[in-house]
Amino acid sequence: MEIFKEFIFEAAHRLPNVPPGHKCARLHGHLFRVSIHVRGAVGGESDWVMDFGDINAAFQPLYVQLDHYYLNEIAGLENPTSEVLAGWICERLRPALHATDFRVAVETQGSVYRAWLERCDLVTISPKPPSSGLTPNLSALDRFVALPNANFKVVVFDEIDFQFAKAIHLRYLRVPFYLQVGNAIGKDTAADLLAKLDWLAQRTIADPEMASAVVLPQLHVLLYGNRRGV
Amino acid sequence: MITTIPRATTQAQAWPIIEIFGPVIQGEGAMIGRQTHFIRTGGCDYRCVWCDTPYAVLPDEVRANSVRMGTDEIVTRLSELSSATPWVTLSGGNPALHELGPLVAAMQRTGFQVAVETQGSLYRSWLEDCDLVTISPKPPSSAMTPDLAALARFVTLPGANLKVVVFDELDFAFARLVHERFPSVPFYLQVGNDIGADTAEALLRKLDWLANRMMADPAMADAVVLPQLHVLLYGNRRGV
Repeated sequence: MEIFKEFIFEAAHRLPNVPPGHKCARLHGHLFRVSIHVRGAVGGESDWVMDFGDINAAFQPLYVQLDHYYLNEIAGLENPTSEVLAGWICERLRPALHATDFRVAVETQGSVYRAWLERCDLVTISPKPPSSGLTPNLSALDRFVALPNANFKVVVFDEIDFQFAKAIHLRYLRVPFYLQVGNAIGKDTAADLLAKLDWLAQRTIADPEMASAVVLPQLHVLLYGNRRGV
Repeated sequence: MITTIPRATTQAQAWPIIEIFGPVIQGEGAMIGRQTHFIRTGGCDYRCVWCDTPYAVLPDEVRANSVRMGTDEIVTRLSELSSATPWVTLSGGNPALHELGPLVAAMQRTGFQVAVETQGSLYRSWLEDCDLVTISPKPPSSAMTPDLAALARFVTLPGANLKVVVFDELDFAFARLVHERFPSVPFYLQVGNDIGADTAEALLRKLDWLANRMMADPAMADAVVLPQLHVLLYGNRRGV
């Protein structure tokens, strides 16, 4: 949703680059109207995109630099057309207003449901396959697949894992489905992982019921190996 | 009185087809990891110095390597390969060199979704019928000079996305220019691939460079950085 707040200020300017004789070349004044638009998700608890008070606070330092000044004397406003002025203001507001603009993705196995998941921008559900030694409760996934941009990612080490992945995909056919190459930490080299990717790709292609699944390696492991913080 | 002149093109249209293969996993771009058939048409209006499919570009090679195939023959071949595969990807050469409208319609009637890869140099109305259009304007290292203003018609096509191959800093600057011009179009940066020279390891090093270069540039924060998975897997072999 998009919200906006308007401000006005008064200032003098002249436009140095207009054709000779243009009236805007002469020193004159305006009442300027500034409309600041902020787009974002409506927060789950606040029910707002952003506090209008925060927009106000972000604009105040600019207001005191602009109101009742000669704009041409301000750094960056040597040619103070409305377009340049809008860009000048936007550039300076962005750091303050943009800080809340992170989109949030979350990765979880789908075992513990939390209401805050509903406020994320993208939810990756990765039920753990038999090779993990765990036995996830598939019917518990029903609640997760309705979350924003829900998608499944199943790690596949072997044929049994593949069958598990298939059972989930067939259960929730409309949820985007990713098959991920299993990664034996400390053992697999990039070449091993690529060989496994080849197997997983061939295995998926051989199964018409998996035709819509997306097969991917872990790029960061190919790049950096199994280091932390990458 | 209106006289209708039958169009010769409606009789038996056929196009120079270099190869039809699949199903394979798409190794690059917006469809990475997805299962698709490929149809590679012959002929191209570009001569990129690092072209990875010269056998589908140079006229002599196209004559030697292609078979003229019509709609029925192509659709039959695709169904033989697998009708469970959800996508067919048209590539080249430049598929937009040809009037492929009837082929796109026939493939969609058969149940396939159609993706196309083109450099955005030649506009065709059949592009509007495709399900996903990848536009890959060629960077300076190709020695081609694409008309960026002409891309404006392409970016409103269905599923339009931009893919720019990056070999070096100049290419990166070009990619940035394209991304800034069309900021709302999904944007993919692809590691340049030196055929015959690059090993999987060399490509991964280039990917590392490209990833770091992108992250150092706030204007590129929304770009997607990808290698060519099929090249990592199989090297620069054909039919993969």
